[in-house]
Formats: sequence, structure tokens, C-alpha cells
Amino acid sequence: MNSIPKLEPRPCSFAQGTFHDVQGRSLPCRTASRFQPHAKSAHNSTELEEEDSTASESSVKTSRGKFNGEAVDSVPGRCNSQVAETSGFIDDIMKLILAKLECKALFQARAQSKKFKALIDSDDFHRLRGELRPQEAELTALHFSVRDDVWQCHGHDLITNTWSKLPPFKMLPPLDVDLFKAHSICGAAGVMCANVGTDSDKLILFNPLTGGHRELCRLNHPRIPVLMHMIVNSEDNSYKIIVAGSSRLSDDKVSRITEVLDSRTSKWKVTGDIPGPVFALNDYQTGVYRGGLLYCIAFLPAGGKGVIVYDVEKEKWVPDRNYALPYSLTSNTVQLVENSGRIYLFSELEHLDNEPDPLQAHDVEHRIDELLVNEDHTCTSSERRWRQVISTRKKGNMGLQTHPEHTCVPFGKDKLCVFNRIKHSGIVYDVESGEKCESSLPSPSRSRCGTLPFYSLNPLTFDFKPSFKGGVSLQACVLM
Amino acid sequence: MHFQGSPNMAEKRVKLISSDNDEFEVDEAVAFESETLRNMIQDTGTNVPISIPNVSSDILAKVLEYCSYHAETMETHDDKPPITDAQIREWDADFVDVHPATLYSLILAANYLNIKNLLDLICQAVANNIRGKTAVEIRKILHIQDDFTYEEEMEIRRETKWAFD
Repeated sequence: MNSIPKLEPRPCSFAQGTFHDVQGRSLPCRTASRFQPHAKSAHNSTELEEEDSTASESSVKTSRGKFNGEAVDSVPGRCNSQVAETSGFIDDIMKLILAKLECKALFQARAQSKKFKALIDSDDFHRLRGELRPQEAELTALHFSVRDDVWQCHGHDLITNTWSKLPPFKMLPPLDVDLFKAHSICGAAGVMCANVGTDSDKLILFNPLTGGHRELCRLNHPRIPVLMHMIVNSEDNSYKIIVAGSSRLSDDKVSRITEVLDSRTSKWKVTGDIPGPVFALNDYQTGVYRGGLLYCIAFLPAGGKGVIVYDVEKEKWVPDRNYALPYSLTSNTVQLVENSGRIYLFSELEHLDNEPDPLQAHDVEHRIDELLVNEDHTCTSSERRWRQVISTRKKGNMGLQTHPEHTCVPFGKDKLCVFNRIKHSGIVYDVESGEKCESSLPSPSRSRCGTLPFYSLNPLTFDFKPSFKGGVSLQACVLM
Repeated sequence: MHFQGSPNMAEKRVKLISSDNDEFEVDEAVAFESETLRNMIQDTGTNVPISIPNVSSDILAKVLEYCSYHAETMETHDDKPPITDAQIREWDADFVDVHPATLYSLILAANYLNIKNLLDLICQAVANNIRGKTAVEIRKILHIQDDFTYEEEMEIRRETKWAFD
């Protein structure tokens, strides 16, 4: 059973009348309790009723209680339960009831009265809800649409196995629908971070459930970063945001610079430069974090694409820890995915051997390889660093570099899903066996009239666990 | 009639007086399910009857029924198998299967007497009652008023449309 934060015992101003009513005539009480009060010799039941009735009326006549912060004038002759019915519960109890609602029902209740809205929007309620339910859902296959210029975020909840929505991101600036694609987004522990700047950085940290948000201070080296990753320390709710690279062609030097914001200082700190060529980080991405290291797709110092590694604690890139890709073909889609502490590489490769004209249908390969990070990292053979998990081929057309059709997302323990961002459906693979799972990810059944698809700059290869708790930590950081 | 909360006759007994001046007698272990009563008993002992002016006899009987059962679930008997979590859940579900008005009175009593698990149980029961209900029904169940202005209502409807799709 869930633990409940301690409520101070409080006398209820209308208690006598309410209970009298339950005990009395009109309101049924299921109790066939074997526990009965001692019979009082001086009274029979009729006398009791009469006496209670008198007592109740007397108390009504004299009572002027405080309820929900407002004075309640009891009307003589009026049953006190009616007072209760028009006044509602005290706030603490109402919060407890609301905190028991499913997430969607909670937002529906929020639209029922000002009272509910104020209660649900309060920090106290966010704290209570966060304690009772630290995680509202486990959303994967995140994707966006836009309605009335506002982001709508959809995801498949792995807990309920249904498609869900987050409240619209109205804390972010209105979107230009014609762009179809804007902003990098990363997230962790119920909080998201979006770079909403159009020509330079403007990072907004927000909790989609609470609506709490704040704009982070500007980077020391203004730019549109290519890499953006967020790490939350669950022990003290502090967080770090790591950005690196630049998308602007004139930013040769800046493209090497890495900056880290620590919530405990709320300042950006320039850390070690990215190894390899300028613009080594060339794909918008969040990277994946494991064991204190952040893994990213980049051009390697030795040439060709691969994985480079940033040590978050030491605040520098690890020069001798590069992993060349496990194939020699070039690929438009190369993504890193983390699941259950393991790191995977998803690639979409085009095989033009039989069809030299790239505009004609040709073989398109989807492959997933696991990065064996526990292997001796001084080993030079790429074959020993990767374990091929799946490789499937089908006829297809050239993929769009600016608009990859597929992303690879975590789908529960030992499962990954190759998600089609246009059809919103996916194929699920077991990473242990390399086999396709019987259950696939079906498209959402409901229509989304009034919405248009919209994309983030980076593929969303992470899952997101919305929580009201994140709002509290966010608030704490604002106060620092 | 005395409460038969525990067969242990060596157990201290506690007298409780409801708002209607009815007297209940329970084992101390049963009363200790309530933090409020525990604090009172620790302050004043068990010799003096404890007055509970906010809780009527019927509701107090229900509350004590809950406390007695849950105190019993904590006891171990050599001759009886322990009560399983599933049995407790079933008992709890049956316990809250009452008229909403009784639930509300129980909530207030559980809050006053500070019985956390009972409060938790009933709040969940009320929340379950709300599930799938219309806005009008929810307002009725929770005794709240639609106090938005027309403009505010339009705004919040637009804002919350996603939750009603």
C-alpha cells in the first residue's frame, strides 16, 4: 500500500451534523458491523434519534465553521451534510483523492473548477503526487505534432501498452508549422530540455506535466549545438546538461567546444574540446549515457564515422576510446540507443550494387549492433567491439538525410523497436535472439484532426518517464 | 457490548466515546492503528475514556471494524495460517463498497484519527468512483462547483483538449 504523507489531525467543523446524517435516517450505511456501541441504559433508540436531532440542530444553530478557508454559515434546520456537499472536502483530503487519479483523469479534473486547477497546479500537490507515483508512464517512440502552433508530444506507454499524450508544450515559443522540423530536445527523469533558439542557443528546461519551466543562461560560445544531453542525479535531483558542436558552418572553432551546465551552479562551463576534425559532431543527437560516459556519433580522428566518448566526471573526451562503425558503407541514418544499460547502434544502409540509380528501388538494410563496451578498448579490431544483433533487408527508396523515416527506440527489457516516424508504427526485435517479436507496435488508432506532424532536429532515441516529481526539482533549481 | 478485537485478555482495553456519547471499548492494539489515539493514550493512559467528538457511533464502529481487522492481520497464530495480502485486499475492497456519503464520513474520520492506510484506501475508492465519469458527474461526486467564467472555461477547455480526445 502506498505511504501517505502525514496529515495533521484536524477537527472537522461540520462533523457532528454530517455524521448524524449518516447515522440517521436518509443516508444508507452499509455497515452491518459486529461492533456496536454500548447500549446506554438511559436511552432507547427513539430517544437517541430525538436527542441527536436536537443536538444536531442546536449545533447547527450555533456553529459558524471555517471550511475550505471560507466561513460557512449553517442554516437552522438544514442538514449539515448539505453544508458538506456544497463546500467539498478540506484541501488536504481533496489533494489526496486527486493524487489517486490516473494521469489523464487528473488533467480532466483540473478543467472542472478553479479550485481543482489551483490544487493540482500547486507545488504541494506536485510533491505529493511525485511521492505517491514517481513515474506516470514510460513513453517510447516519442513523436510530435503541432496544433495551433503548439507542440503536442505523443508516445507509446510501455506500462499500459497504449499510446499516450503529454500536455502540450505551451511553455515553448509558437512553432512555424511550415518548417516541419525545429529544435533539439533531450530529457531525463521527467524533465525535458529544448533548444528553441533559431539562430543561437536558447535552452528551455521544462516539466511537461507541471508546466514548470525556466530558461537557462546563454552558452559561453553562442551557437546551435549539435549534441544536447541531460543527466539527472536521482539522489539529490541535481542535473547536468552537456552540449557540444555547432551547426553553423562559420563556427569552425566553436564546433569543437563542449560546455556543461551543472544545476548546482547554474552556470555553463567550457570543458575539453572534441577530438578529431572540425565539425566532428555532425548529426543532431542526444548521445547515450552509461557508466559515467557519454557516447556520441562523430567523425573519428582517424577518419570515417564512429563513436566517441565523453567522460562526464573528468569533463573531457577520452582520446583513446573511439569505436569505428562495424561496416564500411556510408549511411544517412546512424543512431545510438541505450536500453537496460547496454548501447546499440542502429543504421539504415542502402545497397546500390544491383541498382546503380539511387532513385530507383534498391535494397535497404536495417541493422542493429551492440557496442561491447566492456571489451578491452585498446583492441583495434572493430569486429571485436560490436555484436551484430539484427540485419534485415527490404526494397526501398533513398532515405532522406534531413528527415530520417526510422528511429530506433527502447521497447522494454532486451527489446528495441525500429519506429517509422511517418506511419507511427514499428517492428519490435528481441536483442538477445535477434528475432523479430510477434507483437509489433501498432499505429495510434485515433485520428489526429487539426494536427500536423512535426519533428525535432535530433532523432528521439530515448524513452521518457513523465513525473510530477521533476517539477519539484526544477523549482528547487530555480531558487538556487 | 465490548469490542472483540483480540482474544488476548491480558491486552489493555481503551474506552472511546463517540460524538453521540456512545461508549466503545477496544484493545489497545486496535486503537493504536490510529496515530491520534496512540498519541492520546500515550499522554493520558487507558484509564480515562477518550472522547472523539467528531465521529458518530456508526462511523466510529466502521472505523474500529477496519482497525480491528488490520490489527488482527499483524498477529501471528500457530494454529491459523497468516492472512494473505490478497485476502486483505479483498476485505478492503468490500469495506469501501458503501454509499458515497458513508465514504465521505469515513474520510473525515480517518483524517481526524490519522489512520493513514484507511485514508489511503478510501481516497483511492473515491478516485475510482470518478473514473470514466462526465464533468458534471465528477463535480457532483466531489461536491465542487464549476466556478470558471465563460472565457476561463473556453481557455481551459482549449488547453486541456488533449486529455479529452
